Amino acid sequence: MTELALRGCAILVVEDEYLLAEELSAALIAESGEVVGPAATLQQGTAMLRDTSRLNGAILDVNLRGEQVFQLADMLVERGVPFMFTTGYDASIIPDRFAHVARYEKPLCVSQIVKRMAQLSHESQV
Amino acid sequence: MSCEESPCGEVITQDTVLLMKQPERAFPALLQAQPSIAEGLLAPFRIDGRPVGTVWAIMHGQGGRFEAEDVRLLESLAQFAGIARRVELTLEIAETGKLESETRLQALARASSDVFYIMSADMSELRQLSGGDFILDTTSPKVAWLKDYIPPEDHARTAAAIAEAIRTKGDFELEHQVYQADGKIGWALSRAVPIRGSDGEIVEWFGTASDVTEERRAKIMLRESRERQAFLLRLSDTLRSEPSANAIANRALQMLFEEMQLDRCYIGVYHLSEDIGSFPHQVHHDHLSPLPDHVRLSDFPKALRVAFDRTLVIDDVEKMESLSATDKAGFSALGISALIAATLRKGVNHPLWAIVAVSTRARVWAQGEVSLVQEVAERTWAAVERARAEAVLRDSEERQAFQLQLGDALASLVDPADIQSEAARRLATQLGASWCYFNEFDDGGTRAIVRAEFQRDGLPSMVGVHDLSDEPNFLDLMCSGAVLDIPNLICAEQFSVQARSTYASLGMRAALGVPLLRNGRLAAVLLVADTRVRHWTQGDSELLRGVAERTWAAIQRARAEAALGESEDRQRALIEGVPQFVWRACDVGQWTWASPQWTRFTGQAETDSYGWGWLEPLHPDDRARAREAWAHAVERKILETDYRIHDQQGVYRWFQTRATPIRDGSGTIIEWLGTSTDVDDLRSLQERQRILVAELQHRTRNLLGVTRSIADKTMRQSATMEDFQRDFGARLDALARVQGLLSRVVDQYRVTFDELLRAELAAHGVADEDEGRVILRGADGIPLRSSMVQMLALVLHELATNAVKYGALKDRNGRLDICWRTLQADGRPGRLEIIWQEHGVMMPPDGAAATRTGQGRDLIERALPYQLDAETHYEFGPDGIRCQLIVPISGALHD
Repeated sequence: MTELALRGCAILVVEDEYLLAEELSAALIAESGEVVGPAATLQQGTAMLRDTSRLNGAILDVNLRGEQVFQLADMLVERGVPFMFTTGYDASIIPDRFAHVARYEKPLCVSQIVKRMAQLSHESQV
Repeated sequence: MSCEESPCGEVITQDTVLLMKQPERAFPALLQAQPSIAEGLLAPFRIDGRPVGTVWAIMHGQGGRFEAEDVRLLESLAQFAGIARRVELTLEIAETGKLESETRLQALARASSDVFYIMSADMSELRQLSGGDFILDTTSPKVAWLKDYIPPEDHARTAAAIAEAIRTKGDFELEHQVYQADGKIGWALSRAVPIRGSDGEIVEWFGTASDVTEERRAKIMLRESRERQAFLLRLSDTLRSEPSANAIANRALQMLFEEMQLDRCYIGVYHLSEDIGSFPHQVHHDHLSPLPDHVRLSDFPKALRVAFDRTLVIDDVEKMESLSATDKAGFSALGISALIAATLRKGVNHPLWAIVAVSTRARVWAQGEVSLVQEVAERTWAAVERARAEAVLRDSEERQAFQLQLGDALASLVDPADIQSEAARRLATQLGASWCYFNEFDDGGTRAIVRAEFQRDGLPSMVGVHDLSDEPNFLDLMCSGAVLDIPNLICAEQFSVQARSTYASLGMRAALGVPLLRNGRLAAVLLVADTRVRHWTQGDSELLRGVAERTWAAIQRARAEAALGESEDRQRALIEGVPQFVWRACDVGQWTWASPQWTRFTGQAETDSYGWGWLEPLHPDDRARAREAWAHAVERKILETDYRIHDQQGVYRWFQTRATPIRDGSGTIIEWLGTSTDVDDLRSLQERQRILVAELQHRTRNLLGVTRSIADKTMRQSATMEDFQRDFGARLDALARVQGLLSRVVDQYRVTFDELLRAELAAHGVADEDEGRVILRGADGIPLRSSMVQMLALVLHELATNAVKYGALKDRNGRLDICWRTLQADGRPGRLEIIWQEHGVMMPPDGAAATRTGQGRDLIERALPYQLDAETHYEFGPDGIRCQLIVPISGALHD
């Protein structure tokens, strides 16, 4: 992991499981990223997205207390914010329109996600 | 008309019988006849061998034809006509003579052509007799004239007539028998007149006699002929009323026997090829024995020869030169001395049948007697033949009537065994047989099954299976379609010795069977059997054939109907018993029939489902798909689709529908047969299973994530590996307990708060209400959502762990009070309030406690609000912590 890979990057974390959200947030901060959230629900996530003008990436848990996160994903696409999915379900649950979106199955390998997030956020900034 | 121009003249001229067809062409005079003459038959009659007149027979109208028999009759009539004419002439002469003759001279003159004689006054002496050609002359007086001239049987009569003449002094007249000059006995009409002297006394008698032998015979013949005709008429009348051929033959013999005063009378039948003459009918005097059943024709060679072309007449067997010694011995053995055998022939050399009149002593048969026997033979034959023909006709009609009745009787029966029994009973009764049954053959063609039968009381049953593989003769005969005709089983070559003995032991003596072949295979044999030897008739076997065909057809019909009925019953039971809806549709989707299940489920009347009516109970969203499926059904050769159908309460359930086409012989689709199966439960289960599998994955993966996160945190907080091992192990156990509780969650069951709390306390070695140190207050059975159980369990675990390590459960001074309740507020989801209050705890200086409770506090103050939208308060009281948790237990959080 490159030192300071996420410096200055604002990353939205949407994850309803507190312990996982904490872990993910901690890892992003460790790479000098700025965490937006974490959000435990779709509603919270949407609100945060609306309230945040600068956003360089997002990590979305597919299932949020029974709600699917795809509505939020569509909004990110619209804003051109790169994002990735994490899920405890089979990847097959993800709609075809997000076929190109990176997805990570739980239990998460946090370092991989952070590395991939770094790539995505830099690409979007270029 | 002149003789030459008439047919009569021609017949007399030619002295022959004349048959005229359309006679007016040859004899125009006959044109006047009304009605017109179709045929005329003329025969001459003769006197003294010379034709003197004709007898006519005329057939009027177009259809009539004379036959040879008519010629014979007419000739016979002509004979009588000749005799009658002769008698008439003689009588005329006699009467005329009597009127004129009063004087000797006149008498002499009249009698000179005949006999004249002179007798003494008392007629004791014949003085002179001139006999002409008739009788011998007497030239010198003779006293013994009576015995010389007159046969003894007429002596008394003659003497009486003489005595009468002398007493009355009147004329003598007598017709009597007389010895002719040639030694034969003739008849004379003798008349004498007395010649008186001057004193008026009779001097002598002068007489004449004429030969009246011919007249006398003619009279006798006439009388006999009249008697014969009368007899024959009586015979015909009598025979007509006899019921059968046998009765006719017997009656004719009896009448002839009495009429001719015979010793014996019989009918002989010629069987030339077998050299047998049989005697089926005979009558005889009581003191005689019957003739044997039959004789060998070759024992009567000469007699048979005669019988070939004419009537055999034997006056005396012993004296008949034309008979051979063999013939004589043969007749002698039968006790026959004289006979007339009138034979009926069919063509030349083919004698059929004879009526034979027999005398046990020599007897001179008169011509009339011969004729009589011939006449009787002919009439009897005709009557017998007619009776036989009528019997055949009657049999045939009876058979037809029987068959019709049988057909009616069988038509009302439905059980094949009943049909067999009834047909067997009727047939056996009709034929007077002892058994009647069907042998039904299996495919192998050698095993016969008797399912039902008729047998007379007490006779053994034939029902069962009979292996006939050792009876090839019988089977071959039946397979050829021929009739099995066994008059006597003892000599039946159709069966093996073994089989014959078996049948004999059952009491069978005669059998008749007809086979039924189907597609060249022996299907069955209808058999009748009798306990006595029996000659089956053609009618019997014809009847059997008819009954066999008719009955077999009825049996097959009944079996087919029964099979069809069973099949239909089974099919109906199946269709109405299955849970599926079964229906038929024509023309791609238009229903024509629906099973009762459809109406029971949907409440739609069956008829309302016809056509496209069945779409109505379908979910509106599914109707288009249902039509679409039908649109492709023909090309796909099957219909497969799922749609929802509402029940009577309007609740929709999913049904899987399948239909396949029914095709006719040419492959054209006639209709579709379909089923709709309720798959709603299946679909629910599948959906539930899909969700469960996904949920399991989700939980498992989340759990692993959580576990790793806990491990990381525990690691950071642990000073040593031992600390880590202990704390991590305990936390892992808590997680495991939660999984254990959650795994029991099915359907309506939920993990309840008290359950979760007690499990956690128990894991820390704290029993319920432990010596008053732990007080639990709250309702049992408050359900928790699955999604909150894990986090709540972790929180309780941390609280309990801290209590054991540092707080209320550390030593005996501490006290733990846990109370919980549900909070209901209008417009908000239900919530669970939990208050964890510790007492009697020595609190460390400020700050130290906070450090010790890091993990627990973090979960309570951050994780619970984050993850479960809980409100939490955590505070350090003077003698222990106080923790208040308010957690939504229903509403937005998913289960």
